Amino acid sequence: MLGWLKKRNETPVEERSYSGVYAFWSGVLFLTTIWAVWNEVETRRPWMVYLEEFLEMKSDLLHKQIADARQSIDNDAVNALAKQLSEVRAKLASADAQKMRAQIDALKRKVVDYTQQRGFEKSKVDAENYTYESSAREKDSKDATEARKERTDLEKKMDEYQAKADAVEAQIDSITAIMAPWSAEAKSLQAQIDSIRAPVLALEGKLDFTKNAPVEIKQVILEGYDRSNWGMTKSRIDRCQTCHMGWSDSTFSGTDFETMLLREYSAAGKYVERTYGAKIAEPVLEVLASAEFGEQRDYTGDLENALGDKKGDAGMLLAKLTTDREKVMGMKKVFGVHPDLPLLKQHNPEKFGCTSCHAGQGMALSSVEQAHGFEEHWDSPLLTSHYVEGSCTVCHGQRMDFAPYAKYASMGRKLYIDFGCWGCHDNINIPDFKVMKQGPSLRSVTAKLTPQWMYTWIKFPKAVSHTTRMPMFYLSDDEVDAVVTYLAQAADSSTYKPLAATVPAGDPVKGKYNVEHLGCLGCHATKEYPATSRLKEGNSFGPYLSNLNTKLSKPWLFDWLRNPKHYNPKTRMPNLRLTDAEAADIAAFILQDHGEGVPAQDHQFKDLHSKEIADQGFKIISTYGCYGCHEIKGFENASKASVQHTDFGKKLVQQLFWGTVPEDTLTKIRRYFADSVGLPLGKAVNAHHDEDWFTWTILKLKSPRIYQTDAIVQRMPSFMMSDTEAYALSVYLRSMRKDYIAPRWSEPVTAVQNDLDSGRFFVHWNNCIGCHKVENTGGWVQDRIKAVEGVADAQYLSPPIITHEGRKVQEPWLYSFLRAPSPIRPWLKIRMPTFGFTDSMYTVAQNYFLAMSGVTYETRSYADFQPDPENLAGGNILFTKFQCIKCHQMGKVTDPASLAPDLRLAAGRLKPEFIPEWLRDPNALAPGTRMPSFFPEGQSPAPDILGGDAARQMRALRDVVWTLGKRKPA
Amino acid sequence: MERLSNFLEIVTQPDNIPIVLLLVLTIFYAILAWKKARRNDAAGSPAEAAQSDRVQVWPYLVRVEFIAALIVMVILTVWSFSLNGPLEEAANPTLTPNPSKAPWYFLGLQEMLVYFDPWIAGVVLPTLIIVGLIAIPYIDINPKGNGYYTFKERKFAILTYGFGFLVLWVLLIQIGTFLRGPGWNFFMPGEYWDPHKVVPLTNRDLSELFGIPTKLVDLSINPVATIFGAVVCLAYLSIPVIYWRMKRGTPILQQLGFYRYFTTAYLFVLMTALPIKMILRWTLNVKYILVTPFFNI
Repeated sequence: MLGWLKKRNETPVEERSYSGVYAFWSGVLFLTTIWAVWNEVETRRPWMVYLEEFLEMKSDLLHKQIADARQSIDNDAVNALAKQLSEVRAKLASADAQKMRAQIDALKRKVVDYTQQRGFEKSKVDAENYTYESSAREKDSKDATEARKERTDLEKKMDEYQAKADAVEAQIDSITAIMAPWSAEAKSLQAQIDSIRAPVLALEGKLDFTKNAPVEIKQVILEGYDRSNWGMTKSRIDRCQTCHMGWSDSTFSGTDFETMLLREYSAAGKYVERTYGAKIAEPVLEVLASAEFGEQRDYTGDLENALGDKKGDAGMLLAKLTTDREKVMGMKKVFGVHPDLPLLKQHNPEKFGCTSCHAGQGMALSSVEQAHGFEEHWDSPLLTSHYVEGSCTVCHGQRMDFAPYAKYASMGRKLYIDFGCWGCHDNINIPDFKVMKQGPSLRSVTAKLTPQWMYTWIKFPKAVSHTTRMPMFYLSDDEVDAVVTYLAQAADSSTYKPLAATVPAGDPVKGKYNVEHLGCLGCHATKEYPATSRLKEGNSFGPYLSNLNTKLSKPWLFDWLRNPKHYNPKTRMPNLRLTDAEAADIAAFILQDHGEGVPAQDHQFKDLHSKEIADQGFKIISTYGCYGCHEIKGFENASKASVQHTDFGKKLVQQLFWGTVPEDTLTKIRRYFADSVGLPLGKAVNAHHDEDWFTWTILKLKSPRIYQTDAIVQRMPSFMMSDTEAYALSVYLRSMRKDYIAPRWSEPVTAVQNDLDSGRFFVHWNNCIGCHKVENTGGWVQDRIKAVEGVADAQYLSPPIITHEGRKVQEPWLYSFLRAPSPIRPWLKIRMPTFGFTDSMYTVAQNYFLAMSGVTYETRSYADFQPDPENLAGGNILFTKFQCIKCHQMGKVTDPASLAPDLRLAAGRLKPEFIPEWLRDPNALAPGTRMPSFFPEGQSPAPDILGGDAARQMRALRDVVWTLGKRKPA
Repeated sequence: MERLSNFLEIVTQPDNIPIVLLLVLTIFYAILAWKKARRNDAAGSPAEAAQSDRVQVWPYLVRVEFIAALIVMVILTVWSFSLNGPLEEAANPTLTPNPSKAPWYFLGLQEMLVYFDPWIAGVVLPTLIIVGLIAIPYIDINPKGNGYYTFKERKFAILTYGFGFLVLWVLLIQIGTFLRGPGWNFFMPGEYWDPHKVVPLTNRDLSELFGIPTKLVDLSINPVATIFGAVVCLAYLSIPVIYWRMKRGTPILQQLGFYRYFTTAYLFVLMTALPIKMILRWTLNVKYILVTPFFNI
């Protein structure tokens, strides 16, 4: 080469030939051009591979479906009809028929001819008419008269041609009439055949459509959906459906699809397909498909059955099945139907796209990673698994829950409320911590607890009470000492003192009975009835009752039980209207040694009266934000101790501090959450260090001080969360985003929605749902009642379902009832407590009930409602016939098992329009009620009364009940 | 291994390809020129003198140019589709990229910003570069070295230009591209560009090294420090004058004459001020030499 160059250099320029060099580089440029085209249409369009694969799979599946459909239709009928059809067609094709058709053709030609000639005459007419009109205007009467005459002649000619054409048309009709029945018959036969073959035809149509499907990018444009970083309105473009084509296609679900996935993408499926004949392969593949996609169970037996004499292969096949699992599942995710089509009915991807919920880089098509946003420069990676629930709030706003969807996000939100996260972190839609506190007030704490016990508790709360939500702050001995010193001194100024000087002795046996029957178990757990959840709801709402003997003094407990608001006016513990004896009994029972009380450590305080130590305590309390959950004197105007969470879900990896956590530890932790616990996390955005938002958050929740370094002090306490709790909370935290979404794309905030939301918070905050069922949740006390009473069905012994309270009870009644409950169901042992709600809290409850029932508040006088006197006679007959009085006993209580509320209360309590509604279908309003349905499907059982009009009969019964109420209860 | 992958990650960035090419090509052509110059200098007469003569533009030059055009087209085509545009996040005014780098051809200027205030590094020095380049034909009175390679006959011109271009321009671009990471911190080749890297900021003014505080107690500028800085600067700027006084009798200076000499000398002195400041920064952590209430140097 070099030699050649050297020699060439010695040749004079004029004598050198460049044709070889030119040919070579021209060739290279040509190839480069081809390469460029190839790069453009193939290399840069990986989505086409998916499209082709999709269409191929779809036509294969359709072919199979068509074959199946052909099997299932009535082929004999089709054949018979086809035979008839061919006879008719033969008639239509006979020589006579052909002759007739030839005649018709000839005649039709004539018609065309005549029509054309008529047309010519018509245009001449128009021309003459023009001459006439223009001449007449110019007063040239001679020309006008001539033209007029000419026109009239031509019009006659026109009519002649019309008559000729009509005559020929008539001829045609007469010939057609002879053949018409045959054609009609052929048509009807074809229609019959088609109707039998309809399923096949539909599939064939689909197949045709599939074969001719265009190769194109499918995109959804969400006009003006987003805002850019510069505040400009911006459309969002989603091209997800270019690859995910089967999301709504029923062809891509079910056994056929699943076996096909195995056949195409798994070693096991390929092996089966290759090795066994079609007869064995089909059933074997089906079993394998259910082993892969069905419920988790052992399929070896089924597989052996399907394999027949080859059953020795079962183990090998199942082992092979696991090797390609990821790929097969992946392909199912690419092509398969979306797992929740009903949800998509409300969120049509054709309109809303996919990224509005799932995030990811919607417009990217160049690779799977890019499209899913798993790359360094895309800030919102695909939300895998339950993290997608973090997107609901983007359009719908922060809500208490999105039942029945977004379970983890709702659970996370409840945890956020119940763990008191909002006490230290600012967050929209969570109540102000200055008004409400998650923990008890510490204003008079020394009247309740000894400093030693407080010391023991703060040091490590879980050691004292295993179910507590009070977190551990990793405080040193001296720090706890200082905190308790401050709290003790702050409580010194309190004027609280237990009211009763002496406490009756009390009988623990009776106390146990009262605890189990009066409703304590609605909110509290005991050794016998342990807590069922870590959320602050049901019986884990209040403190655990079986370890209090080392904590509380009897005078305080007695005072507390009789009137909790005396010690703490803001407490959520309601007043159960206990008598002194009842309170003393319960106190005696609670203060018994249940074997779980942890004795207070014998800590020697440095000096409980030292101002200096108290000042240190003050600083520690300010630093750690104890006042976020507890009312503490001196912190009335403190602001929240930690950072805002309002936009936490949008934080970027670069904005999170990772401390000194080594890379390999992070990798291990990510893998742990992704694999072992089954909580898939997003891929790392910062691939360099395996860092992503999800890992950071979940790790922070599990181990709050993990990112602490010498320079960066962290103060978050440990809540000892389980993996699931941390996961749910991280899902909720992901939902905290102040994304701007254009109003037309987001759901407007309605008053009803606000009422529902505040109400849901209210029933959770006050644990109404511990005893009552609302909106298909709660009422857990029933489980305890079942256990205590030893019955299988405890609905009639439990507090009522209150979902429909809004349409059911009169607003004034509800108000007075909540202020001072009076028994409706005298057979219930459990008591509706007096909560002492303020008027604004009452309003929240009232609005919630109304919103749940879809009714609006009306100012009305219920006392003025007048029963229709014409209904009363018939109503009374029905009242007797239905034996209402048998259960609705008025005054005397006998057998609790068959009792119903006193009907005399109805007129003062129920809304008049509710009773007919209730009578129509009691079970719909209160599932499990013992009230029988007298009007099954709205039909009257007594056609002879009041004209058999069911609606009127129901109104009549209401009128009778209403008159009962007019009498004073005995 | 990790160092290598860190290094390769930066070197193979699509937008760094031209800078790698720049490095390779400048070195290649500098060596080539150097070799040819050495050969000519050793031989006593330039080899180019032996090569003769002219050929017709058409077709002998045009055909070669046409083939060159073909080759360039091949390279550009392959380049354009085999390297993707280096897109990053959507621009966000509240979240700017780190490091924020100028276009590669300005990275030398950006590097100067480390050592000088913007008005010097961004305005005065670039203007001087342009003015100096314009002035070359007028101050270069050496007729030798036209049409052939030589070093011996043009030592000053070649050394000055080599230093000004290869070191102060090309090298600074390379440093700005490959060794300056997040926060414009200096990273060794292969070191991971950690955005959280912290380097101590311990620069002091030159006067402070001599025990003269730059700022008074009320944080106003100490006039003594200003005078000190001014003296140092004037001393530096008086070097051409002293040299003139010492050597004005020599034939070279005679030929140059007063005006050409001082234009050349001050362009040269100002160019050399840049590496001097850089060395002072690296060795003594000098922040400013001259501090005044209006500007700092």
